[in-house]
Amino acid sequence: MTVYLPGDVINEPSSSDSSIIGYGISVRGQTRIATQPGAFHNDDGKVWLNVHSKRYIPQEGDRVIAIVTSKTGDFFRLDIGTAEYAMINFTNFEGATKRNRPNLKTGDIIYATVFDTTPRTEAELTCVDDEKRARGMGQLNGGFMFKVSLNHCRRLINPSCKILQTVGKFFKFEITVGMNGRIWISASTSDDIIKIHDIINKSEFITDEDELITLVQNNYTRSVSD
Amino acid sequence: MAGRLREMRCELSFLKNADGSACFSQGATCIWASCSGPGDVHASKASDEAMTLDISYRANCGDNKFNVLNNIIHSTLSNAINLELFPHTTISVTVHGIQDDGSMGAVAINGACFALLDNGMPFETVFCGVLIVRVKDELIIDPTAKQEAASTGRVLFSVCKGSDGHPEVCAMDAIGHWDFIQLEAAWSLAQPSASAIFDFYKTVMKRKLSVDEQ
Repeated sequence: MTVYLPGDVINEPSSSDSSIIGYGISVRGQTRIATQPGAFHNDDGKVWLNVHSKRYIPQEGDRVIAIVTSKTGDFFRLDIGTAEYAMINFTNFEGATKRNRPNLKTGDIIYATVFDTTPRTEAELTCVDDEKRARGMGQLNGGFMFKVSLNHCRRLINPSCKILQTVGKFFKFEITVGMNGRIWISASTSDDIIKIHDIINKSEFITDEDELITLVQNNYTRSVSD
Repeated sequence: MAGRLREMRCELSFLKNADGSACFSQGATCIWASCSGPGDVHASKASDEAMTLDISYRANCGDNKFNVLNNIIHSTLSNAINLELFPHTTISVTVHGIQDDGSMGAVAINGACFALLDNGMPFETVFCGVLIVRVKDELIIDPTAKQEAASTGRVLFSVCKGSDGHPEVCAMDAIGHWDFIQLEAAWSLAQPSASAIFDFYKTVMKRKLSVDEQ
């Protein structure tokens, strides 16, 4: 694993053919410069840095968890953890028309996709795909939402990550991971929600699988009221 | 003690509410630094073309009004960050001096860089601070409070890593009488220490990112 700091020149891989420059790296002429501190990753012609951070910067195509803060005419104003609020039009929900509007109130939580970002305007979100289907997006009811770091979210949704698989063997739960560092979980009892929340928070710095299983088992058997 | 840095220690991500935070010490001098942003900015301070820097150094006694270290930290961050990436936002960097045993300016600049690295936002180059004092015609690097009090001249270098990887001055603050030859000697003395601090940054970030090694 190679760690680069901002300003460092990235020379690997030596062959620069058909490379897609990813997160944390910028190109100056023929040189690649790291712009964020991170661990270098390289896969099939793509290069990127895995940056540890807590502040979300909107990117098109990200799935995020948003909080409704207000309604302005046809738009809902949403908090996704960025400097500016994001916006979503009421027609960007599945089955929504002018006669059939979504019923969102201040404080509701929705799961949406970022589909437009420019540095000088608010990000725009949508809850439908190109075929106007929700595909799991929309309002999240009940449950519990909490914040973790962005790199932990990316780790959780990695198909090879064992954290959610191990938790799934012990608890029956529903989870939504947003790329802006927010996680929403729902389970049958509040005790289960508390335990799963603790497991996800504590697993951020665990890399060993046995240690992870021990953590999940200990939380499964513990009593929350203690 | 001349020509050698005191022991450096750093802990990252220890403040839960800040986007980036660092507890950094050199010898007995210790600071806490935090860096939050890019975040919301009041309309009166917002700029349509660039990010607004909100720098605050606070000593552990006295009031929290303007401190001279704000200037050099502001200059350094203006140089290190591409402010045009996030217009209409602000970034807040706060440095608290917890214990002062000399070289507080240099330690504050190093702590600000660690907080920025912990935050993870894009910026152009790492930077560090090196303080050199002159005591009876001898130059001392990273002085203690006693050496600082006995000094006849002080120069605080804010050093950036240039595009070729070598240290470059990006801001400096001098007190006392310095002629050009002495400044050049001080800069020659500061460069190896700046490289050592850059290596320390790499070591600490490697430790922080070691969870990715799997």
